[in-house]
Amino acid sequence: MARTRSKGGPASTSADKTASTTAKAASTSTYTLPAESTNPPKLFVLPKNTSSSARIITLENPRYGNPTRYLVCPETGSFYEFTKAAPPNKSTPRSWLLSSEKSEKEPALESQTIQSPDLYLATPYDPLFLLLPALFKSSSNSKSDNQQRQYLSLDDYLDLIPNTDRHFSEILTLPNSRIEKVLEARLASVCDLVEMGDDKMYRPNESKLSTIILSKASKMAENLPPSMEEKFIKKALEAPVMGVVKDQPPPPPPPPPTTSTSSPEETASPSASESQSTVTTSSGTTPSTAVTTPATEEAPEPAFAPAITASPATISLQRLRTSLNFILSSYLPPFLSKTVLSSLPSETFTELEEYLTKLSKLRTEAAASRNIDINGGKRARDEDDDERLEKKRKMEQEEKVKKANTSRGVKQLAKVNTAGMMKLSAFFKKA
Amino acid sequence: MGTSQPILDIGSASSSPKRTTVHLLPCKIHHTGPVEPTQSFWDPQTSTSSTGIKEAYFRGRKLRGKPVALPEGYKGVVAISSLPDQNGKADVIDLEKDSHGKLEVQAEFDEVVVWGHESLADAAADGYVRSLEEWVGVAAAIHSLDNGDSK
Repeated sequence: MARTRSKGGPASTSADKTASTTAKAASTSTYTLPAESTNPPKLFVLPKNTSSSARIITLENPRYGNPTRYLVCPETGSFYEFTKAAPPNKSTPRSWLLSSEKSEKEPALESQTIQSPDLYLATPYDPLFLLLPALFKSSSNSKSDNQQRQYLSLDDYLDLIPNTDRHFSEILTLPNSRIEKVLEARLASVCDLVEMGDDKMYRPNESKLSTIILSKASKMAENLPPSMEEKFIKKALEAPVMGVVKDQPPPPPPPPPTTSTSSPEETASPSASESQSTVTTSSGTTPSTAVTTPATEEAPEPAFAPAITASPATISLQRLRTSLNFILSSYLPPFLSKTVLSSLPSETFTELEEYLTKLSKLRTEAAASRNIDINGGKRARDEDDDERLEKKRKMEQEEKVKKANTSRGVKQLAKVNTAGMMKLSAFFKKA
Repeated sequence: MGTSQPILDIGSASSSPKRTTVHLLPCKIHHTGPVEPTQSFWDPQTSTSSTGIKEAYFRGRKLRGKPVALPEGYKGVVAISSLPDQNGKADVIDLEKDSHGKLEVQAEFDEVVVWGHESLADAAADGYVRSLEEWVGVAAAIHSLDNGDSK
């Protein structure tokens, strides 16, 4: 590993020679690094419109049931959830450097590094999701019949919301808090309402919930971000590229091994066309030259078209379903996700389903025909396939060589449990 | 930190927020704390070849940085969370007002520079860029408070 780590690198190159020598004697660098801070700062991205009374509280996550941090602004009554942006996997090295820019007029923060690469992003959160477990829990075991549910007041429902740290009750009792108003509006959106004198009583209604979730999903589907579009829409609906077009005669059976030495570009070379003519004559008695020319001119154009393409309606359905699944699996308790899914009209995704069954059939077919290719080793495949096979073969060969080269002693040692043993290199280390 | 975390009030250390520029470096720095003076090792320049791209050399490696502006309506904040005094822990209810921790805003920023080794981060590959450019829009769509076509 070529590491550029060098002790006192900047010191030795600095112009101030005398300083560097004295510094070298004391430490390895010109500058001494200040001590690490015990309470490291964190980076947040917060909405601008939160007031000074905004605070971060812990509530039970309606989906996972674990305590989760939320940002609440009592003055606007809005909730925000935190998303942690982090490297794709733990091994990706990332750290923050906060540098001051002297040119700016405002006082700048002292430059510092933060080892942890986290960035907390606070985005709006619909408090409806917080209410859902309490609203629908009571009847989750019994038949999901609206008639069986009771009418309860807002306060009754709020009491049902888990409040282990008393955070929830505290934000409700804050002065000038609009939180209760917002929660009431969200509650009303999924409930039947009965007014008894001054009291308003609510009864959860599953079909109203489904409507809201579906409208959220369609809103999300309208502008799905490019990365999701690529992964869940394009990839999911992409039909395999078929080398053979349906209306042409089926591919000839694998020829006898006598011609197996010919290269994949046989259709272009005249010598190979001779050998192929023995095969193609099965579909017609045309001369060999006449067979090869249309094959080279016509074949490429349809050969690389996908077998089926999704209609715009199918694509938008896939978008809707992706969004719906995302919302259901991120924000709703599992039992409610099922309820919402089952309450959707059954024909909602029929067109998409049909397309997907066709697609999976095509994919298995494509996979099967690829297998034939490999086994036959004769029919022209695309270069990618060839390369992949070549790699595989090489890997296998290398492994074989490796295995053959290991001595008997090494082989035997491989079976020994060396966990408690000292490494041989430990012997040569300085004490 | 215990299992239950206190409520954090958000406050600023001083009346006018300090400014800072945050760089996401493509390496792990095993140090958390002040690193002044930075100009000896960190001097990013705006690239002359392509617009908006920054270039810097860090310990001999060439880095290319892409400034990612924070989404509209958001601000970046460097904050230290401090826990409440733990002395009156037993009587939680009485000390409710004092049991709040504080999230002390130290500085603000309005863009994140995402650095890569010779290459630039894009939304498809980089979680940070994706969070800032895509997730905010998705979250807004999912969590809007209107009831859609139900009413």
